Amino acid sequence: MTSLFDHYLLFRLRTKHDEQAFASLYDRYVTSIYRFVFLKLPSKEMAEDVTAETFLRCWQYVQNQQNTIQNFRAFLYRIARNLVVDAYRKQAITEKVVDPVTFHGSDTSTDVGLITDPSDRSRGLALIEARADLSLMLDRLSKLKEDYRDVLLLRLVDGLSFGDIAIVLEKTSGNVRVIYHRAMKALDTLL
Amino acid sequence: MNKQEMKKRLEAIRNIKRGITPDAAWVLRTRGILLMQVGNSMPAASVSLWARWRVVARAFLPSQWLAALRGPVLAALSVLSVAFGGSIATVSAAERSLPGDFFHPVKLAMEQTRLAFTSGKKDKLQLKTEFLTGRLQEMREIASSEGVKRPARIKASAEILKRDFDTVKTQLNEVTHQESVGQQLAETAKLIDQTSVDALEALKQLKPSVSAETQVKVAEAEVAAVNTGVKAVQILVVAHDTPNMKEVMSNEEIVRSIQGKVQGMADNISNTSKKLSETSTSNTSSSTVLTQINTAKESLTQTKQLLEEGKLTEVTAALLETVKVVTTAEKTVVEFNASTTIPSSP
Repeated sequence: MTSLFDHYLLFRLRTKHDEQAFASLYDRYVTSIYRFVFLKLPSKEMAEDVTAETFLRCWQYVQNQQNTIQNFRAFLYRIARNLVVDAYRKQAITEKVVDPVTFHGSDTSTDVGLITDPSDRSRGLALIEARADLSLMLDRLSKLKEDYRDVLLLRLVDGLSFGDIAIVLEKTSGNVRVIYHRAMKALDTLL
Repeated sequence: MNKQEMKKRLEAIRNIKRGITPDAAWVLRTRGILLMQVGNSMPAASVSLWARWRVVARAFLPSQWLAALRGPVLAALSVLSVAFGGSIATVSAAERSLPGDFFHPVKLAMEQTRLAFTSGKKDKLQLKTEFLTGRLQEMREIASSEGVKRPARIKASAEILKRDFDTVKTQLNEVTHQESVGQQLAETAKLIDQTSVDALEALKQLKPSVSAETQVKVAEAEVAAVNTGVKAVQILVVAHDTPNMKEVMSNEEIVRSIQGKVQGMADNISNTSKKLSETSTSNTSSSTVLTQINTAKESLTQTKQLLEEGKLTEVTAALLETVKVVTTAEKTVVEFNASTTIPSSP
């Protein structure tokens, strides 16, 4: 159903030149693409740049009527993944360090001590807890192989199907399943 | 933290409240910038109907469907191409085949089909005459060929030629019984007469080089060719006597054609007499054949006389009679030779 709606929006964009269709596609995927690149890049600024660039590249590709997109979601992830690789290549970043302080939720960074409302205060605590969790998990994930980490993040964090992950990573669906199970086993040994 | 817990926590990152979300202001700002870029680079030209259809087809016909359909479609196409390609190859092979070949019956069947789809006796006759010339061409090709299959092919070719001449003769009789001789029939008769002359010539050249058994078949084909030729000449004589149709065949051409047949009969009588003298047959058989030969000679003399007098209608009737007698005598001698000779070589 999701895929059908994407195809409908793409159809409107390509044939009716409907800018709002592109806006809808952006709204649908900006958060997940941002999250995907954010977990792979060292800073929030870089993640924002790569996310914006992903949608721009997507538009450039869509403009050509000859180009086909079978799975828009997987297509976006694929562009994003390639841009992350390019970003690392450009900046010669050898080690990805995700600083938990740079995590920004929709409710921006919060100083728990300054919150006076009890409900806001509990939400802020939950956020800090979540960030600490994430930092710990990313630290453990960083010890895995690149392929393992990608498959785990795409599957568990972004909720992509094995078929979609296969498109993103340019592998077969069966191959992705094997990688996923090996990654889970590797994760088990790390814990 | 165990594996399951880790899995759950990773999945929880998806939850906006607990997870990673972009700054709302940045999202709006980027949205605006992107839409501006999209608007600026949006093509002004409208998309053609065909392009729209292509987009729809690509988008809504999943590649999995196409992949699933590809196998059966390709299989069906292969079957069709083999069926049609095979048919075309078979037809092509049949067209080039000669009597005795594997595909020759296919060629004959195709001819029969064409005949079946032809309406009108005159049109059928015309088509059959066309096939007859094809048969003659086949016989010539076989005569000029070499190889172990040659004797069997000559025999098969002679049999088919005889059968086709007989068919043409029957068709000629049917057509002449039903209607008067017209331009089309006269033209066809002229072609049949010419084919008959050519066939007789080819068969005569072929005869000495074949076995006694095949000679019987060749002789039968000769008889059929002569009979059909004479029947064609009869029609031509009638056509010649019909006003406005004299241009089909001139008087000289008809006379020349009959003279050729008379000469052929004379040669046949001479050959039969020669063969009879070479054959150590019983007195009874020999005297019977001799009587037949003498009758044929008399009939031939009468035919020549009528031809000299210019009585063309009577000439053709006398010629038919001569053919009958000569054929009987020749057949008796050839069959006797065949029964006493081992048919080992052509």
